[in-house]
Amino acid sequence: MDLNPHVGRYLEYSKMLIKDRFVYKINLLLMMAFQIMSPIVMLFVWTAIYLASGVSAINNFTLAQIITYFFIVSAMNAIAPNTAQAISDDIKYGNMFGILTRPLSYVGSVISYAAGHMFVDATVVGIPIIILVTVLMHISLSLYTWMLFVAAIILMLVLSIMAEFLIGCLSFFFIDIGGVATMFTFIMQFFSGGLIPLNLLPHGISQVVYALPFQFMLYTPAAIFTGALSSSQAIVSLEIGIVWSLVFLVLCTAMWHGVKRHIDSVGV
Amino acid sequence: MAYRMQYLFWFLNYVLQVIMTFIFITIIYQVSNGIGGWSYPQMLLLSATTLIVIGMAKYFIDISWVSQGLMNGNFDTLLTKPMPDYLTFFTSTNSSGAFGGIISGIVLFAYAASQLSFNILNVVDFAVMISLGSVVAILFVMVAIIGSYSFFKGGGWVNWMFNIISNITKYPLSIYGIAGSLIFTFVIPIGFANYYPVEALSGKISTMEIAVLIVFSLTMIYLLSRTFNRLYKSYSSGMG
Repeated sequence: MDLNPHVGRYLEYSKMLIKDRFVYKINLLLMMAFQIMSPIVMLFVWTAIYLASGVSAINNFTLAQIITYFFIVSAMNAIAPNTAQAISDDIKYGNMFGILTRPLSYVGSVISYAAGHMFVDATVVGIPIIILVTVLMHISLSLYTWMLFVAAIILMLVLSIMAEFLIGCLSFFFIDIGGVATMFTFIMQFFSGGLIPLNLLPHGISQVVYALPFQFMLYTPAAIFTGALSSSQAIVSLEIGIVWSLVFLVLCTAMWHGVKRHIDSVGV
Repeated sequence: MAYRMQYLFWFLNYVLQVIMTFIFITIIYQVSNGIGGWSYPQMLLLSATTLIVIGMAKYFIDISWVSQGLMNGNFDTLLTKPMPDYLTFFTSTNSSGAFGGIISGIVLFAYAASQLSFNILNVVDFAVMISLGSVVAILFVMVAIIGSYSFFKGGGWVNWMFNIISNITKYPLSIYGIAGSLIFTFVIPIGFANYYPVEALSGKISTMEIAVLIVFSLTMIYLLSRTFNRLYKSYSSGMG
């Protein structure tokens, strides 16, 4: 099959990154092991909480649902791209100048980079976790719900790539964005439901959180999978998410135009 | 402090960790009865103690830098300096932002403690146990780093492991069952640094149990020191 050469070169870039990730197989296995530890910890914590409370559901969340929720959140965390540091390194070490002279769009190469990593992380960590929790928790979803779940994951990936791009471009101002990126991760974990399901938050805080785009990064896919969001609620949520994607697209475009005007290569 | 903005962001990151922990525990205790046997202030006390100990370990040892330094040979520059073996692990200060975790952990601890009452003996037991337990935790990290390099010629995962352990031990070890309690007491001895000192402070364990735990802490310090010295002496440079 003769792919469009413009698409083909990005695919080759992704393939190269996939091969690079599989070089250190032990690291991948360790990543899977560590990624699964977080929901296991939540399993113990929430089991203790439900036992102490003596109730079958807290805010309409049963113990089984909340355990499933954290496993799906863990899978989403594994799949989500981490391109901010790569972009930051390109700026910090002066690679940007060389990259811009190549017959590749920088934005396209960032997407290829993210796609390569997402493929590996989804294959080695994300999908196995989803399969594991589906089997162990005896989850039975309709085809329609699975389609909504996949749509939510795609929306999550699109928003995450754009958010990471915006953070990565902050290197023009801060040079080293390690601290900024980590801070964003912490904040995002809370506002996206990574720390605690959003429907357990107090009313006032949840009103603010639901108005922000972060819910689509972790909470929405997990809520669809656990049934916390009905099909009709999921559709509305996804529609709002698409609007936020367009907002992020505008922000990324403006950021990239601003960055291109100020590119000043550093390093040797 | 050359890069003040970077330091500020890392400082704030550690503060944020403490804030997120506080929010999580507060929400848990608002929507439920919390974790059995542990009141809201006691849970805050446990989490704050964990964050302080983890903050101290990260402040004194930059796990990522030391692990990478062992692998790429940068660590060798420290070996030429006239300092004791242990201090070579303490000389990297890239994690100075962890001071934010220590400060905010102390603030959280003070807030939790203000809602409880203690007798002076419990406070003394706590002080002794957390001092010894912190030494155990720091030695364990050092052994993990040098052991990982000695056996696997790698170490990037030690930081991940440490972050996961800190997440696990923010909660009472009793929720992980007997097996979990034993693992985080004798295999990954973080329990000595946070869980048991807070139990002592809260009056949940007897004087005899405290004495036994202190003896165990001293034993762990001895064993970990010996292991570290052994592994350190067999170190061969990553640059060959």
